[in-house]
Formats: sequence, C-alpha cells, structure tokens
Amino acid sequence: MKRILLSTVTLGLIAGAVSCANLDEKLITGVSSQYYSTPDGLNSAVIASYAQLRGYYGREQLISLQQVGTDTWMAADQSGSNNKDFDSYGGGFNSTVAPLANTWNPAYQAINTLNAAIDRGPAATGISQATKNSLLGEAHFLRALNYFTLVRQFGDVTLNVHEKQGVDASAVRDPAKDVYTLIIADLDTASALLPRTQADFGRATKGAAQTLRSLVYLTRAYLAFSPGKQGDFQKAAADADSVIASGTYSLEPVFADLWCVRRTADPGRTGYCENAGYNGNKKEFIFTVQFGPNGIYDATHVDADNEYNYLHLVYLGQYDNNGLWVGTPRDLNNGRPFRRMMPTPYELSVWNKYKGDPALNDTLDTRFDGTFQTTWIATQNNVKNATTNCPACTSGAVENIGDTAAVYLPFGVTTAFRQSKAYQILTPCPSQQINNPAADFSPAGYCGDRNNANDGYFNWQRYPSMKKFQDNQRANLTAQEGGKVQVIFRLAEVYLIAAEAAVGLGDQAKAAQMINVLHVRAAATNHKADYNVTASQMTLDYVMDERERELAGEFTRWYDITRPGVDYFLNRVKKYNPHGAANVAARHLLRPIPQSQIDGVVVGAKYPQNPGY
Amino acid sequence: MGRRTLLAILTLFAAGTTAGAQSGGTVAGRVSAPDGRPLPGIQITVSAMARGAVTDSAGRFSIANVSPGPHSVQARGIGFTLGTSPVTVASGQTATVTITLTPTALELNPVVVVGYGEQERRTVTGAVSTVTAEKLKDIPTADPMKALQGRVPGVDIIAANNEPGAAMNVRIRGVRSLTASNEPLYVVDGVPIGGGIQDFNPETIETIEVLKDASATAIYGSRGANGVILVTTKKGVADGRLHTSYSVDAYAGTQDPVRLVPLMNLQQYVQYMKDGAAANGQDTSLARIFSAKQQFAIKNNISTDWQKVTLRSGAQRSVQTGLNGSSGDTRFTMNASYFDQVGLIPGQGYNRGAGFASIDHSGDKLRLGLTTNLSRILTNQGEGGAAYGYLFAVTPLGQPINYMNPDSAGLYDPRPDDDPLNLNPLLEAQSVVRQQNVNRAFGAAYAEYEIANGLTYRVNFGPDYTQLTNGCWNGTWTHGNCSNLGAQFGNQGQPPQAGQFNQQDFTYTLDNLLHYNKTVLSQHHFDLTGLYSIQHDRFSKDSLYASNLPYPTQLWYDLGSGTAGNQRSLISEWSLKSYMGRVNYTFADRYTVSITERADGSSRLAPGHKWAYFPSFGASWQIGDEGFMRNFPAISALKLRGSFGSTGNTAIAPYATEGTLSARLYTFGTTRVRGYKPGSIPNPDLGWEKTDQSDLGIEYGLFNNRVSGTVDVYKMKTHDLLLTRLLPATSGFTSTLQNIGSTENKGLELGVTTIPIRNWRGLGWTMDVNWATNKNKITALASGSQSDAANVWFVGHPINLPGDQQRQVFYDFKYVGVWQYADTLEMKKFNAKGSTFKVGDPRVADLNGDYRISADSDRTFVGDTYPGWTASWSNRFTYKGFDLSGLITAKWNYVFIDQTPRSYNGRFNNVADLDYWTPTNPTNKNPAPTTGAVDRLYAATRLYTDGSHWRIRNITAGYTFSPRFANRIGMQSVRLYGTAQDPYIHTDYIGIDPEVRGGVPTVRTLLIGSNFVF
Repeated sequence: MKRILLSTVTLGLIAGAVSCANLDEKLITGVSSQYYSTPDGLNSAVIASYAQLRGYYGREQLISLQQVGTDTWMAADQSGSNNKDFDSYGGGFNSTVAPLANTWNPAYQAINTLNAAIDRGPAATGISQATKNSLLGEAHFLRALNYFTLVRQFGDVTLNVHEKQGVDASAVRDPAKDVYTLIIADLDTASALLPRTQADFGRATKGAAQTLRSLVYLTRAYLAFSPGKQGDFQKAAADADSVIASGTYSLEPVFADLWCVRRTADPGRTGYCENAGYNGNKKEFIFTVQFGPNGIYDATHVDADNEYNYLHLVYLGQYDNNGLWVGTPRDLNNGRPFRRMMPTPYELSVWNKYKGDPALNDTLDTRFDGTFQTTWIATQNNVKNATTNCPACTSGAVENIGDTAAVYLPFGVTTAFRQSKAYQILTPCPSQQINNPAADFSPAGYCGDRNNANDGYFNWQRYPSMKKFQDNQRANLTAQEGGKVQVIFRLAEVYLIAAEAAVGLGDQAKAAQMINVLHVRAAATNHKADYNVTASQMTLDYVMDERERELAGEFTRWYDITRPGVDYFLNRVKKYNPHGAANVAARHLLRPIPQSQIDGVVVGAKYPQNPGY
Repeated sequence: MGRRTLLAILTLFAAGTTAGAQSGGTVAGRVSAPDGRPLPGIQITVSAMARGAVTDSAGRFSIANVSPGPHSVQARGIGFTLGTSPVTVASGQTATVTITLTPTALELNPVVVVGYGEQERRTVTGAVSTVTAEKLKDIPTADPMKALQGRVPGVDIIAANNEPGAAMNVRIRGVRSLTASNEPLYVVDGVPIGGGIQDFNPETIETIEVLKDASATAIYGSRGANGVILVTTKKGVADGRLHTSYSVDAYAGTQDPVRLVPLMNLQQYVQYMKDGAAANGQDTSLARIFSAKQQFAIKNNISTDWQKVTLRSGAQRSVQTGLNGSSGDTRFTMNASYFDQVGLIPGQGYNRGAGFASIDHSGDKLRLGLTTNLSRILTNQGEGGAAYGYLFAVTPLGQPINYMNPDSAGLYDPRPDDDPLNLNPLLEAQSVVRQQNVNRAFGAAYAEYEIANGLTYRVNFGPDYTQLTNGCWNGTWTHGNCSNLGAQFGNQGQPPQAGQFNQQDFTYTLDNLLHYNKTVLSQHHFDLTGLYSIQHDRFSKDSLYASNLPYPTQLWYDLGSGTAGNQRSLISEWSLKSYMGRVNYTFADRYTVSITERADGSSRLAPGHKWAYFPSFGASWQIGDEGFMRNFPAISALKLRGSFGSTGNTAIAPYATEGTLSARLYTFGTTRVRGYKPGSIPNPDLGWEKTDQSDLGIEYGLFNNRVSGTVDVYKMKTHDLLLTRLLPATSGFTSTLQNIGSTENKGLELGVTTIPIRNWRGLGWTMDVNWATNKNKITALASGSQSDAANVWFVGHPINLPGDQQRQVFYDFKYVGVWQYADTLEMKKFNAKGSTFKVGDPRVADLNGDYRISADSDRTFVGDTYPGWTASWSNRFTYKGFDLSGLITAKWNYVFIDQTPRSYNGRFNNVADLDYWTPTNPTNKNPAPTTGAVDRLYAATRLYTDGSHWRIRNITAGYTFSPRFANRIGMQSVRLYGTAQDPYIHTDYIGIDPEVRGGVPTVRTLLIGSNFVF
C-alpha cells in the first residue's frame, strides 16, 4: 500500500517536473525578418525583387495591359473575358477585372521588398563596397521599373519610399509628376552605382538604367507636367546615344536569331521557332526577366509561386485539329495554341515584306518571317485534305511527313495557284465579312479566289502565329511552363527611342539615321543597300510603324500608342482596332484603380478612382 | 491489495469508503427495457451501501457481501426513469430481482461527464447535451459525428463532401470566427485531441456530451469558444465476479446516389450548340460546330450518359467483435473492428481496422486505468469529386472507348469528344491513385489516489500519435497533378508522376488534478477542483516528388527511378500550460453555483502576451423540488439555469506572431538563386480571440415526464477577432493576421422529448423534436470601418469566412432576368453609357438607376448560407421485440451558389437545364447560349439558389429475439435490423444536394445487420 502511495506521489512529482513546459517559440522551418540584417540579407532582398518581376512579366495580365486594344493587336477567340474587355473597352471593363490587381499587387509588393533593401542596404556589413553599390543600384533600378509600370497604367499612384514596418490600411494617390521625379532620381542613383556589365546574366546594369531613363524622359516629354518638352526629348536622346555609344551592346546580325536557333530545314524561317541550344543571352539584350537556367524551365525546382514564362502560349493561332487542314496535330515545336491575341489588319499591313509585287516573292524586310510563323509542316504520313475543306487545292493529293501542310499568305492568290498546291493556303478576308468578330467564315475558312492583298482579316481562331516567345524546350506539348527569357529592353529599341526623340526635336535627319541602322539589319541580303529611309519620311507615325516592325508582340504597343497623348491613342484605336473602335474613350488612357485597392483602404480618406470608371 | 473491494466506478457513490469482508448475501438480477431488451450499463445500488454494480451487456448484475435483511435495489440509467425493487437478503444466499426500466425523455437525474470530472445532471449549471450509445447505434456509420447529426439542438454537422472518409464539419451554435477555426474542441476520456474523432469506432463510445455554454466550456479556456465535445469510451462492466461476455456485430449494404443531375442527350446537346452558334450569328451547320468524332456520333446516333457509365454502386460493411467483463477489482473491455466502404467513383474507398482496449483497476484508495485506441485507416481518394466534375464537361457525343481508331480498340479514349480539355472521366478515375494511410495510437491513462476522505489526487496522461502517409500517382493520361507535391500542369500523354508525403504528429497532455468534495451541515455540498496541466505538440512533415516514372506499377514506391522533383520538410511545435480552478457549491440539493477560472499560457503568443484568463459563473435552481411546486402536479420536474463566462479560440498558427520572410527563386543565366521577400508583418500583440457568452436555460418535465425538454437562449460576443485582413497592396502586403473586430451570435434552442405511448398492449412510442435558430452578425471591423468589401465583411451583416472555398455571404449584382426584345429601349440607355448588352444577355439590377452597372454602387446582399432555422424530428416505435425508428432533419431559408455547371458557353456543359433564352423561348431563367467558352457578362449572378430542404436521415427497423429464444441458441441476446440512411432529400434544386455541395453524389445506404451477445 505504502509502495503504491509512494509511487503515486513520485509520479505526481515527476509529472510536475516534466510539466515545466517551455513557452518560448523557436522558428526552425522558415526565416525571420532578422535575416535582412545579415551580410547575405541585402542580396536576398534584391534577388527576391527580381523574382517578383515574374509576378507580372511572363504572365497573362501582360496581354490585357500592354498589348490588346491597340492599333496592331486584338483579342482572339479564346482570349478570355478579361482580355476581351481590355481589347474592346466594352461594358465589362471595370475596376474588378483581374488583370488590374494582378499588375498592381506584385508591383507594390516588389516595391516594399526594394524599399527594405534601399533602407537597410547602406548599413550592410560583410560585403565589399562594389557589391553593395551594385545591389543598391539594382534596387533603385527595379523600384523605378515598377513605378514606371504603375504610373503609365494608372496615373497618380501611391508613392512608398520606405519599407512598411506595420499594418497600413491607409493610402493616398500622389501626383504622377512626383512619381516621375522619383523614378528619375532612382535611375540617376542606379546609373551612378551600377557597373557596365554584370557577371550574372540578368542583373541590371548601367546600360539598363540609362535605357529605362531615356524611355522615362521620352514618355514624360509628351505629358502636360513635363518641366520642358524639348528638354525631356534631349535627355531621352542623350541617354539613348550614351547606351549606343557605350559599345556594351550590339545588334544581333540576323533578326530571327534574337529568338531562335537557325534550322537548316527552314532557311526562309517561316516555320516555328527552334530553341534547342538557345540560352537567351544576346549582346543586343539590355535587360531581361529570367525564367529558368539557360532558358529552360525546371519544373522540379520551383518555389511556391510557381512562376514561369507563359507567353509562348498566347500568340499562337490554331493549327491542330482545326478541320481546315490535316497532318499537323498539336506538337511541342508548334506549341499549344491558346489563341489569346491576333494581329489586326493594320498590323499585317506595316511589314514591307516584299519589294514590289508580292507575287514576285522578293523579300525586302526579313522581320515579318522572323516574327510570324506562316508555314506548318506535316508531321503525319499519308494524309489528305478533304474536298470539303480545301475545294480549290489539289484534291486527293497525299501529304507525308516533311511536306508543307498549310501556309498563310498576306495577299490573295488565284484559283490556279491554289490548285497547284496540295496544301492549304490561307489568305486574308474582306473586312465586311467579319463585322461580328466571333463569326466564322463559310464555307471553308478561306476567302476564295481573290486578289485583295491587304484587307488583312484572318479568322480569329486561325491566323499567323507570333513566334518570338515560342518555346519547344518545355517539358511536353501541354506544359504551360516556359523558361525562355522575356526581353524588357534591347538595343534596337534604344535606336527607336532615339529616333522618336529626334522627331520630337525636329531633327529628322538623325531619326532617319537611327531607323536606317535597323533597316540594314532587317533587309534581306540582296537589299542591304536599298532599304533605307530619308529624313523627309520621318514622322511620329513612321516611327510607330517601325516600332511595330521591330518590336511586334514584345508588349510595348499599348505604351507606344498612349505615349503621345490621348488624341493619338483614340485616333489609332478608332482607326485600326475593329473590336475597340466603337467603345474607346478618353478615360481609357488610364486604367481603373483595382477595386481591391479601393476596398482595402479603410483608414483615412477613400482611395480615389480614375475618372470615368 | 489484500482485500477484495467492489467496484463502483460509474456509480454516484464512487467516492465512498470500502467495506470490509463480512458475511452477507448476494443480490443478483437482470435489468431490461419494457420490450424485453436487456439494458447494459445500468447503475445498480443497494440501499444503505456505498457501492454497487453496473449491468453487463446482457443486462445482468451481481453484488456480493450485502448485509442480510430487507433492502431496496435501485437501477439508474441514462435515458430511463429510476427503477426500484425491494429485496430481502439472507446470509450466504443469492436474492434475485428483475427490474424493468421505462425510458424517460428527461435526463435530469443521471451523472454527466463535464470537463475534468463528473457531475450530477441536476446540479449542472451549464448547457450540456448528452447522446448515449443507444442513439448512436441507430445509425451504423464509420464516423461517430455522423451518428450525431440532428440529435442535438444547436449543433450543425455537415460532411465536407460525400467522398468516403470525408471529414465532418461541426458547428456548435453557429460560427463566430471570421478567419480562425469554428470547429469545436474534442476531448476523449479527458484528453484534448487535435482534430476530430473520425478515427474512433462509434461502437467503442459510451456517451458523447456536447458542452455549449461558457459555464461548461470555460474550463477549457483558450480552446472552449467553439464548444467542446466530450467523448467517453466504453468501460468494462463490473459485477464483482469473474465474468466475460462476447459480442459480434455485423452489417453490410449498398450505396447508391440519392439524386443524379439530369444530363443532355444527343439531340438536346446538338440543339443547344446550334442555338449557341445562332445566338452569335455563326454558321449553324453541323460540320462547322462539331469535331470529327462528334459528327461521327451524330451520324450514328451515339449518345453517352456519362453519369451512368462513370458511377458504380457503392457498398458499406462492418464487422466487429468485442468482449467485456471483470475479474475481481479489475474490469476490462476490448473491441476489434473492421469497416469498409466502396465509393461511387471507381478508385474511391475507405477502410478502417481498429483495436480498442480499456482496463480499470480499483483498490481501496487507488484507482488506475488505461484506455487505448489503435486505428489504421486507408482512404483511397482516387480522382474523386474531380472525375465527377469532368462528366458534366464532356459532351454526350463522346464515347468512353475510341471507336474511330481501330488500333486503340478496347482502350479508353483520352479525348472522347476531340476537345483537348475534355477528359474521359473513366480514364481519369483509372489513371489517378491518391491514397492516404493513417496510423493512430491514442491512449488515456490515469492514476487516482484518495489522500484523505473526499480529497483525491489524479494524474491523467494522454499521448496521441498520428502518422500519416499520402501517396499520389498520376498516370500517363491524366489532367491532374500531385498538386501538393510539386508543380507540373497536366500530364496528358507524358510518363507518370508520383509523390509521397509523410507527416507525424505527437501530442501529449499531462494533467495534475486535485479534487475535494465535502458536505457540511448536511445541506452544503462543496466540490472543488484544481488543475495544473501541460500539453505539447510536435508536428513534422516531409514530401518527395518525381516525374517521368518508367513503371506505372510502382506507384510512388520507387521515386528514385524518375526525375527528382520537390523535396520539402518542416517542423512546427507548440505548448500550452494551464491552471484551472473550479468551485461547485450546492445548497439543499436545489441551489447550485459554479465558478471557474482558467489561465492558459501559450507558446504561440508573443513574449509578454503569453497568458490569458478565462472566467465563468453559472447557477442553477431546481424549482421542481420546491414545496410550492406540489401545487402544479402537471409539472414533474423543472430546473432553471443561467451562466456567463469567457472562452477563447486557440487557432493561431505557431510562429504567427513573428514576422517571416518567404523564399523566392530566381535565375541568373545558368545559376539558380534564392532570395527572401517580406512574407508576413510581425505582430507581437497577437492574442486569443475571446468569446463572452451568456446562456439562460430551462429543463422541464411535464405529465409525469411524458413530455420533457430544454429551452436555451444565448448570446455571444466574440471580440479581438483574429482576422486575416486583406490589405490594400500599397501596404506592401496582401494580408495580415490581427485581433480586430467583433461578432455577435444570438440563438434559441428547443429540445422536446415526448412519450405519446408508453406501453399500450406492448406498443411504445417516443418522439423527439429539436429546433434551433442562430443569427450571427459582424458588430465591428478594423479601425471603426463599416465595411470591408474585399472580404465581404459588413457591420450588421452575417459572417463571411474567406478561408473557405465557398463564400457564406453573397454580395454581388442582383440577377433580374434576361434582356428581352421588349426591353430594347431600356437596354439602349445602358449601352449609351458604355455597356454592350444584347438581347439574350443576363440582366442585373441597376440599383442606383444611373444606367451604368458599377461594382461600387450596384452590388448588394443577395443572401447568405446560414439557415433561418434547423429542425429535426425523430420517432421510435417499439412493439414486443420489434423496433422502428426514423429521423428527419430540415434546414430552411438560406442561399448557396449552385455549382452544377451550366455555363452555356459552348464548352464544358451538358447539364440538361434546357430552359435557356432563345428568340422562341424568351425565358428569364437562363441567358442565351454562346460560344467561345466565355460566359456572358454577369451570367454567374443567376446561380444564387434557395437551399431550403428537408431530408430523411435514417430509418431503422429491427427485431430483438426474446431472451428465451436467445438462450435456447446459446445467446444472451440477438437483434436483426435493416437501415436506410439518407433515403430521401426534398428540394427544388437541380443539383445533387443543397446541403453537402461539390464532390460526388450524396449516397443512399441500404443495409442489414445483426448484433449477437453470448
């Protein structure tokens, strides 16, 4: 009995002793914010800010915010309601549409990370001054880049210049003028601190800061609050000249090589973009967003955000299983056609593809074939086009692997020409046939025996595919995860900025000189000498067309046509975008502030919406 | 322990001192119900003796060493009136008594389990509902909480979905927390456990008590706010002699969908697609709309009912065997069970093997006991609800097997209708394996020592170890991926991928309890309890993932053979230290006051803020026992009770008070690099969310307890709400966790039990009715703001839980119909202001009449998912050996989002809701169809649907053979029964079930079973 009593008491005492549980908390998995104070902290914040670029670049919202609804690009059939709203400026285009928050949120989160780096960085110890300078320069560059996106899309926005230390549910909109001032100050700091070259491909450089600054000055020059229009054009030109003169960058000799590796089987480069062996590191690239080592997305090492380059999907028209031609089932090379965006008729008219009569087939500007995939090669043996699908072509002719299966031609052809080919030939349709963008073409998806070269309308399901982002290094044919770099700035654009600034300054000779640099590279081998422009041709419209020839699909277009101001923007959209022409209005020069931002500001004054929304 | 003592564990007089060996007689006997059914677990006491016995499963008991002379034998059982029988004991002889107990509705008399102890129900000041094994047994199911559905007013139990093994969501008195958990705390044999009790075999449970108000729950302090569910497992039956009885229970049955969704046939689908093309001004010829395979189907008139070909018949079966008995001072029970369920979707199933043992030993001063439950649960989740979802997308023009390609004869077609995103539900179900294995060992051990008369010291130790392994395998032709394991969209045509994750969770609770119980001057009874307790939890998890696996047969058991993917691991720990004191004082057996105070110290809170205090006060008055009540003979019992107090909600995740960084990966050229961005805002002020609750209750019995019941009204105010607040992005973060805001809950609960027929020529009838209403609303938000539209939180309106997949409060545009030709003039006014409406488009209300539909001014409250009221009605009839019982539940006045896909956008829809707009059918129900897989603007606003419904939960009919017959075949008792579970749902809704949404169809279970005791 006593033994039991004793053991019970002992048990109780043990229980009591063990019970002195420790209430201290020790974080083992995960990293606390104290890490920013370590020598690696500054670098880790800057790296995270690069990674945060992937929350915006390479993603679907770029389509809505930077490309559709312009003179040159419009929504295709599977564009999704968001892109279609941005394209048509229609009734569904309001503050709740997702791409707005998908742009706004990553930018402000990245800005907070960058503010942490900028606030804490100067006190960082244990790293060399050169490294510290570079990291701080990168932080200022990235902050400027994020604010530049915000100010161009939304106008007056909240300026945060310090890391948020607590919960802040209040916010005010600062004048766009002040945002530009901060951006320029950041870029002044960045260009002073950054080295000309970086050992790590993808880190910002002095040239990147200067390029961005020249574009910022160019943009501000047109704005009402510009401290001096001519002064801004001059500063834009000076930065551009400095980048060109630095010798750090050079134009890739062959335009198509910017995006792809040369395939011997496709000397005309009309087919898909081959990426095997392509790492995206070109002397022409000034700043890029990276999505995978050597341009290959690695699905097995991703963080929780799982952010990849999605853009390979968005420009592709349907070529597989389309009831129109045969022999080309969906494959990795030709890509997964998400049909988000297609060229407007105007886009197809700017190219100078041929010298003289198109029928002579004398290529002048190689950039069309370097930009669009117009030819599909059969990947199946022993297939035939049905007469119902291809009444005019050589009925009953058999296609085998390697044969041409379909070709888009930007001009009409004769029945005799069609009948001489076993493959489908797709040509533009007259505009009146597609008042309703959803309408399909009867009977067979081509427009018959016509010779109306530049009507330019293709069916919005099937159209030439913009191929700069095509990525056949993905894991498989359905994989959405792409690893190709997205180019934000390249040297060719610097020439275009210089040209536009020169037009603004009335220096047309210099503008022509800049454009001709690009023309020499763009011209076919036999036209290197005769594809040039003269000073008298140099207008803003010409530069805009040249921008499209050079930068088509690279997500600059919405900024390009809004930059000169509201009249230019309205005129261009009304004239050239069949979906948006009816609805576009002055308010559309700025996007609505995302509703989540307005709803989230619950302290202080209500967050103001842009007028008209 | 030289002397033999008698057991009195479950009796009221357990605290009594021991009796020495003396020459006496034995009282033995049997207790049965009016229908002759033996009643186990009845407490037997013999007058003037401080000990007794509990009846065994055959209703028998035996008490030795009873002093010779006349005695009165009393039998008490939960749910029965007190039975007494006179007996005269002669020395050395056995006197036999037979007692028949009649069921009572009123449970005022027996003891109930309360937190850290037991108490006579008549003195309990809190709102406590008890459900006994008797009632649980009526519903044969794997999950004890399912058997509790509709049994307790104010307790809402809904399965998360209908897949086998799905968890039950339990809400006691509604929801109060916006972002923290609303699940109650479960305590098994005194051990608070993490999560629910779905791993326990219902057959091993003796009682479940639901603690609803603060007087009852405050002793669980920081974890009591959502109510507490106390589970008491079965103990061995003691009758003072060596004795064992064995039982075998088995049942088996089939499961089929209660309802199916109507799907389009070939003609209807073709017409719908043509209508869509016509509405868009497109060519409506078959050749332009349909793919090659689809045209083939049309030509050959092949129409597939995907629901029929995909679903199979389910099954459920269970077998268990147990023994229980006693030997001297030791009593024991053991149970082994196996439960198996086959799901409706191929690849789905659930099975559980469990072993349960409990042993108790009582000495003079010392009592020891140990309960263990070991279970192993294998859940095959398969493609599950997703596969069911796919069959609404694929067209009736597709075929499971590719009949157009002779090479693939007999193989499932991965793209049955040529649409690359339309999957073959049958192939999906076959190509996905998701398997979860849970091994759980739960123990509850105690040692109790009586230090002095009335003063006892008790140690409880409760370890609970769960080891979980999840395996995931996606075959070549699947759309899904092992999403929690790695990222890779789709897998169509690629080699298999697989992953596995393991997690371990070890929790232990150690309680030191001092209990003192004293009666002073015969009228004043004190009951004091003091507690010092600690709990510690250690959770760890790791996962592996690989793709490009060469051999499909290896599932996730040879991940090294593929391309390595994500590897992750984590650990998380927390501890809780608590002090608690409770004073119960009862005067004259009529007036009781109960005061508790608990202090919880938690590792999860920031230094300096770790401790929180939770007091409560309760009082009760047995008016029924007052002299003046004799003037009201119709009132046979009446008790008034009231309480107020404070409880907390524990659901702050560990480390939530620390600001953390989150990792982001990036690449520089060829190098992968890792950076850290701010992940969460540090918040050292984070504390528990607290609920202040008051409750007023009446417990009554009328007409000799033929009618009895409870009425409870309550009000709760939850403050310092833990809110994951969405922030404006300009704050640098998208959300943060804070203690802000408050909510309020008010409700009324009625429970009535009646005995319309007690015993009329062998017929008995009891009927229970429960009715409850609960209203919640938000009373304050952060910084005094009135609304937070981003989270759908509005002061004065019900609570939206943003963590859930489905919203609870719908703040949206209001659907008013379809734009008709007759409305063209009105429509043009909208279009003049920027809208692009067309005839056939959905029309929403322009609330401010400015002819612009804007999110700022035209959204309104279109309803919420909280029912206006819930009710249940159960009946039980007995006639001789026959019994028949049924349970009906109802839920009224609530709105939910109809998620049965009816998008009418030319893709992913074959649900036959054919009342859509066309020029010849100008309906307002559904808009005109369209093409291009994009819905018409505002089309989703028509999906808010009234969910009012009633359903039959259960019907059981059984027959218990007479004891004489049972004895003849060597049994103590034999019962055969048949049950129909969820046989019927009454609703206007087109989908599966207005209550359990998503996933697979609700099943109707038909089964037959038997219980044998021998």
